[in-house]
Amino acid sequence: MKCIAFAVMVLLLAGCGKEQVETYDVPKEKGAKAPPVKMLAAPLQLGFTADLPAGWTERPGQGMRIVSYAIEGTSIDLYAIKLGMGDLTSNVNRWRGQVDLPEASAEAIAAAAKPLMANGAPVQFVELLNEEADKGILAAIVDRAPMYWYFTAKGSVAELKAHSADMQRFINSIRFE
Amino acid sequence: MQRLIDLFLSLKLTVTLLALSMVLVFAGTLAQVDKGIWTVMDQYFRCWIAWVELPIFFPRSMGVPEWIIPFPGGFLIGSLLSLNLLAVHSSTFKVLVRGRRMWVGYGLLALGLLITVGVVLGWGTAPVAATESDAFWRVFFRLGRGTLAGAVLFAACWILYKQRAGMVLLHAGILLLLVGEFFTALFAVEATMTIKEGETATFFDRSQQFELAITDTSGTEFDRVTTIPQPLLKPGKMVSAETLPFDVKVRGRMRNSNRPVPLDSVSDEMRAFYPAYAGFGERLYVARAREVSGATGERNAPAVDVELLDRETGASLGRYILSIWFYPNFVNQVWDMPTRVTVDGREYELYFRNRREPAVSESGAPYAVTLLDFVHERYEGTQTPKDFSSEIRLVNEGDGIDRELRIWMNNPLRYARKTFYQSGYLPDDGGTVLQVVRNDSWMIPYLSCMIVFIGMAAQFGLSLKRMRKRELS
Repeated sequence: MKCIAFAVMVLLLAGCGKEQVETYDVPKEKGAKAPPVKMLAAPLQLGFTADLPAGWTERPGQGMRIVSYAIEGTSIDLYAIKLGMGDLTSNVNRWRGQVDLPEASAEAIAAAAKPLMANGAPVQFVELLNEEADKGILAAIVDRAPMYWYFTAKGSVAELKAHSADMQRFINSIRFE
Repeated sequence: MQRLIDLFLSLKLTVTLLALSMVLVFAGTLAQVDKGIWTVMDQYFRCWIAWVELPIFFPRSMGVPEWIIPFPGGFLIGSLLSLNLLAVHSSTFKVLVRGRRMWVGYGLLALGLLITVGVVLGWGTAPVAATESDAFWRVFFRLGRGTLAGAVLFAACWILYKQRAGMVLLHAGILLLLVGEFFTALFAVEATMTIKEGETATFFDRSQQFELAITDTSGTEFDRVTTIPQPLLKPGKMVSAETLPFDVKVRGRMRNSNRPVPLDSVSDEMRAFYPAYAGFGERLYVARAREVSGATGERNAPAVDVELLDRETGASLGRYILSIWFYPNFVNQVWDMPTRVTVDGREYELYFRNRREPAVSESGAPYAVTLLDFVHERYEGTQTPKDFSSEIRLVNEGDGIDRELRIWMNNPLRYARKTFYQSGYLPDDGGTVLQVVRNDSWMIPYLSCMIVFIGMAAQFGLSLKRMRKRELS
């Protein structure tokens, strides 16, 4: 019995490593990442400029996307596209389907849309949040008929809620060339 | 003394301990409503005394006072059960033979124990156990090794204990299982390895241990990293290191913190109590959050609130909130947010991150894992994952190993006393997350199962034989 108790104590003591501050050198990574450049305004060739909220970084667009934005500390996918149609009801119902929300009537959609202004162009801003599925879309349709600009942010509900104000300020700050 | 011995010989103690363990498991399960699984493991099971919180037994809305009741912890119950088992074993099961037969029995017992140790330590297995064979056969052969050990031990018990061999063996199997869990609790380590396609990893991120890493990036060839392990980051404590021109004063520590949100998106009331941070905390709100529930599968995101003080003057160089949310491997490399400070013309990057463990083999040689390709198959026409696998290259120049291997679901790689499981993947299938587990007693459950199985089968067979004999007579 004594032997067992002794063995258990030895094991316990063996497990008690002393914690201390450590220092070591590591070779620098080849092609180490440059610090992220904080963009204050979107480049002119996009067709607009805007004030980027703190923590936003512009990324080059791909495919239909004119430009994308990375928001620090989030996995929000935010991008801008430009199309020749801008019907609010059909677009909102399409987005609602993407976040597993049922279709809504044209009246309900129009009532929920928040009017903003981008450099004199009217903007319809919508927040489509499905708390249950924890996914949502924030979208702004900028009416520059015959062309319409779409700014769409997709992500989790909490992230979108937290960044909705920033996105609205961003839209309001847009200045078209 | 005799009373103590009698206590350990009593079946009442066994029943009491088993009942206590049931209560403990029940309480530990309920506690996971509010707390993470690892917190509950430490607070209820992997401890000598468990501190059971009264409110866990009631609906939270009832507002039951937060009394804490001391209760025998997992280690205490397990140890007492083991002692009880050993005591009963040694008093009840006596060696029934003498002379040469006894020594043959002891010899076989020693051989059985040797095989058991060999199976646990993996003697005779390949140093790089790749996942090439079918999972069924792999498990089958493991059970086969356990059966071999169990069979030799049974032969020894049969010689030494005759008709009671089965009982002796199955109790020994249960004891082995208890001891195995004790070793797992003390020494098993879980970590992850996150690798982007085409990149190489040479370290693991310990899942349950954290550190504050301060990297001096001013050098041209090397970065100098100073790490402060989490146990030293106690609120109010000052931590110094010769390599740093500043001291680190710990202002607070959070077991869980919220996902960063813009500071201007939170209420004025929350902002009023928010410290005047420098760095990300200047514009992001990161504060203490309720610990995640063990039932959700989410992870806690610990954070530390530190102030840097000039070593010479003691002047404040800024107060920083450092959350693991800023560490890329915590967020599957979606972002990388090092907190940068410049002191005396030298630049430093600060991360509160998972504790780093270098990838080193048993011989002490470092090794590297390169992700050659990550494959994510989905069921046709759907987004439902069918299979995901990592094609890796394992290189250990010191040990002369250079192999291309595949790790996929339920088909891990075993190397250098660690098991590499396919665990997750990076966004857009751009890389892999491997779970790396070091548990030297991982074979014990296989062994115990087979030893108990042989013991029970023998006991059942012998009882059946006795019964038939009685019937015939």
